[in-house]
Amino acid sequence: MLFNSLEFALFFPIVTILFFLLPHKFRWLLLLLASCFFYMFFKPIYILILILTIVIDYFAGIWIEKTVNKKHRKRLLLLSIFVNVGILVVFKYYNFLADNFNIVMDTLHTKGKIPMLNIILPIGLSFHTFQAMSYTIEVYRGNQKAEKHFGIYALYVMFYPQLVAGPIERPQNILHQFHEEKKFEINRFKSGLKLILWGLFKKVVIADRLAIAVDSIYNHPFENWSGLVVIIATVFFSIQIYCDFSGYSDIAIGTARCMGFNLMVNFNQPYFSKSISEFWSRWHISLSTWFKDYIYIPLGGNRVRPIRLYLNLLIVFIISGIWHGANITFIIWGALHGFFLIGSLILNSKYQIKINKYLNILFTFSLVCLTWIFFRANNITEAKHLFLSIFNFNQDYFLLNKADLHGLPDTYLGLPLWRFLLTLLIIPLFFILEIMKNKKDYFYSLPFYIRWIIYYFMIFSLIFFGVYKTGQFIYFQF
Amino acid sequence: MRKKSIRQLIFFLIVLIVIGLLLDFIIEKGVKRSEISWTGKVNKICSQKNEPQIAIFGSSVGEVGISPMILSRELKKNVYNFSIDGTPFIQYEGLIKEFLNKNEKTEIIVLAEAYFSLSPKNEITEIQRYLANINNDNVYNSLLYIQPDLAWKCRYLPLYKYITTDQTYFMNAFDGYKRYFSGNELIDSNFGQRPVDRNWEVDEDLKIKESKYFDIIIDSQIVNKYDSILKKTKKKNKKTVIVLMPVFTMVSKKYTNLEPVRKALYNLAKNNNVKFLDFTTLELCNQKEYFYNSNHLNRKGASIISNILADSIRCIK
Repeated sequence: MLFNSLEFALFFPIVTILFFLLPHKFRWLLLLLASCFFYMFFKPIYILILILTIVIDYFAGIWIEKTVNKKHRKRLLLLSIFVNVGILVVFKYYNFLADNFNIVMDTLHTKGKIPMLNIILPIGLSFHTFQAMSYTIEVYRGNQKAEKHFGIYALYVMFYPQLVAGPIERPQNILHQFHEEKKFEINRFKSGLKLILWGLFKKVVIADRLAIAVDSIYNHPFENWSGLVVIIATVFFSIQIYCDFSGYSDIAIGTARCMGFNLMVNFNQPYFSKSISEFWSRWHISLSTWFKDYIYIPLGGNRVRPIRLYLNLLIVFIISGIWHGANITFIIWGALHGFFLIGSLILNSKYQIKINKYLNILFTFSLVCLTWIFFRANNITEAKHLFLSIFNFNQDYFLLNKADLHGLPDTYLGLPLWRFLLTLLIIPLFFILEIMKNKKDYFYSLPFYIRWIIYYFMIFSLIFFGVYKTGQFIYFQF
Repeated sequence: MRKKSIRQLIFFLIVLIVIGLLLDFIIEKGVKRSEISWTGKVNKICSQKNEPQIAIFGSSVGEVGISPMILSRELKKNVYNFSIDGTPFIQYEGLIKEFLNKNEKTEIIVLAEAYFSLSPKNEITEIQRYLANINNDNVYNSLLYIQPDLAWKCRYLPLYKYITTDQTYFMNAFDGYKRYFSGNELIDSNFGQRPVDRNWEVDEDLKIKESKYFDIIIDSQIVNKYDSILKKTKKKNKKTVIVLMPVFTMVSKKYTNLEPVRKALYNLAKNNNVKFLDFTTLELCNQKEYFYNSNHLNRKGASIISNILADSIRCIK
C-alpha cells in the first residue's frame, strides 16, 4: 500500500482509531495484522519471506542470549546473518551476479551458463532485512535483551509505517515502545498529522512534479541534451529524491507518532552540509549509522592507520552502493562518495583550507549532484554519456529548448515553457521550506489563522496540484 | 486544554471540507462552461448547445479525418465533428446516448470507426474530459463499463477526481469563466475537426517495420452495445452512416484478422439498415502523402475522404 494512495487514506484512520479503542494487551495484534495487510497489498506471497526471517531471527535472538559459550553465540549470530543476507542475495543480487558471470563466461568462450531467475524483488527487502539483522547483532553484543514475545518481535520487523522504506530502527529504540501502553494525546496526534501532511506535500507536489522533467531527460539520455539541461535535470533529481525519500520518512514518522511511537529522524537538511562527511551524517541517517555501527566500526573505524581508514571508508561506501541495488551504477555512486570523503580527509590533513561556509555548501551540493547522475541513470553507458555532456562545452551548451519535430511549440526539459518555469520555481520554494524548518518557533508564534492558511494551502496543493500518476516511492525498489 | 485542541481540530476539518467543496463547485461550474478542446465537445453534447444537421462521432481517426467544412459545403447542411481523440465507441457510447436523448434537429449521424472500435478497453482515456459531466448517467455508465473503480471514485468520492486531472482541467475552468463573463462564444472555424498539416512522420516507417503481427479482438458485448445504439438512432428517426476510416496499407497488413472486423461492422449496418462505408480499401491507403502516421490522415487525406463521404451521404434517401 502506498502512503500517497486512497487506500492508505482509509487504512490509516481506521487502524489508528481501532488502536486507541482496543485494550493495550490486544494492540500489538492489531498492529501486526494491519502491518501484514499493508505489506500483502503489494504482493501477498512475499509475506512468507518476512515470516521466515522473523522466525529465524526470533529464535536466534533467544538462543544467542541463552548461550554462554562465545563460539556458539558467534555461530548463531553468523547463521542469522547468513540467512538474512542469503535472502537478500537470492532476491536482489542473484540475477545481477548470474548475468555478470555469464558475460565473463562468454568472454572466455567457456561453456556453462547460470540460469536467470524470473523473480520480482520483494518490496523494501533491504530495509526490513537490515532491521532484523540489527536485532540479532544487538542481542549478541548484549545491548538488547532477546524479545520473548513472538508477536512483539514480529511487529518490530513488520511495523507498517517503516516496513518498506525505513527508517531502519534499532531494537533499543523501538522494541520497548511496543510494550508500553500508549494514551491518546491530542498534541502529539496533531504533530503527527502535520508531519504526514509535510511528507505528502514533499512527495506529491514537489518530488513527483520534478520527476516529469527528470524522466524526460534521464529516460532519453541520447537525445543530445545540452550541458545546462543535464545540470538542471540533475539538480531537479537531487531535490526529487530528497523530497521523495524524506517525504516517505516524514509520513512514516508522523504515522507512528499519531499512535504514540517515536521513530528515529532519518534526514536533517542534508543539502546544507558543508562537507561530504557531514552530508552522510544528515542523509538517510538510519542507514548510515547502521553501516557505521555494524561495518565501519567492526572494521576498525578511524582507530587505524590512514591507509586502512581510507580502505574501510571505501568498503563501507561500496557496500552502501550495493545495498541500493544490483547495478554497477549504484556501486559507482557509492564509490564516488567514498573517494570524495577520502579526498576531503587527505586535503584536510595536509592543508588547513578555510573556505566560506556558503561556498562549502555549494561545493558539497555540486559533488553530491554529480554522484546522483550515476544513481539515477538506467545503466552505466547512459550515466557516462550524461556525465560527459556536462563537460562538453560546445556552442549549444546553454541551449534549454528543444525544437519539436512536428512543428509543435519548443519544449524545455520535455515540458512546455510555462510548465518548465513553474517547475523551476520549485527549487527556491524547496530551499525556502527547508530554511523554514529551522524556524519552527517563529512559525508557531504566528497567529493561528496564518498557520491555518499555510496548512490549507498545502492540503489543497496536494489535491489540486499533486501528481498521482507516478505514485511509487523511489526507495521502495531497495 | 485537550477539549480545546479537539474542538480546534474539528473546526479545522469543517473549514477544510467547506473550502474544498466550495472550490470544487467553482471549478466544476467553470469547466462545464468551457468550450475549448475535448472537454468543450463533451460539454456541447451534454448541454445540447450544438445541434448540427450532421453530427460526426468517433475517435482520433474521425477527428482528424473528416472535415465538417467540406461536408457542409457539399451538402449545404451544418455539420459538427464531435469525435474525441483516444475515444473508441465504448467510451463515446454514453455521449451518443445523451446526444440522442436531447437532440431534435440532427438528421444524420456519422460514426467514424477504426479497426479497434469493437475491441475491449480497460482504461478510460483522459477521464478529466468527462469529469464535469460525470453526474450525467449516460456519460457515467459508459465510463463505468470501462474502468468501474475509477469512474465510481470520481463520481462519488468528493475531490477524488482531482487526482486524475492535470493543469488542462483548471485551464478549462478558466476558459469557462472567461466566456461566461465576456459573453464571447468560441468561434471554431474547423467545426470540431482537428486537421493536421504534417506529412508522413520520419520514424513511422521504422515503427511499422518493427511492429508485430497481431489479432484484433472483437468484444461481443461491445457489438451488442453498438447494435443498441444503431437501434436507438433509428427509433429517433436519424439516419446513420458507419465509416471504417482509412489505415495505411503497410500497417493493415500487420493486423491478421481484418475481415472479421469488417464483417462485424458490415453486419451491424446491414441488420439495422444503415449505410456502411469501408474506406480501408481505397487506393489512397497505399499512399503516404495522405497520412501523417499509420492510422491518421493529414489534411490532404481528410479532404479526399470528406468529399467521398459527402457523395455517399448525398445518396442516402
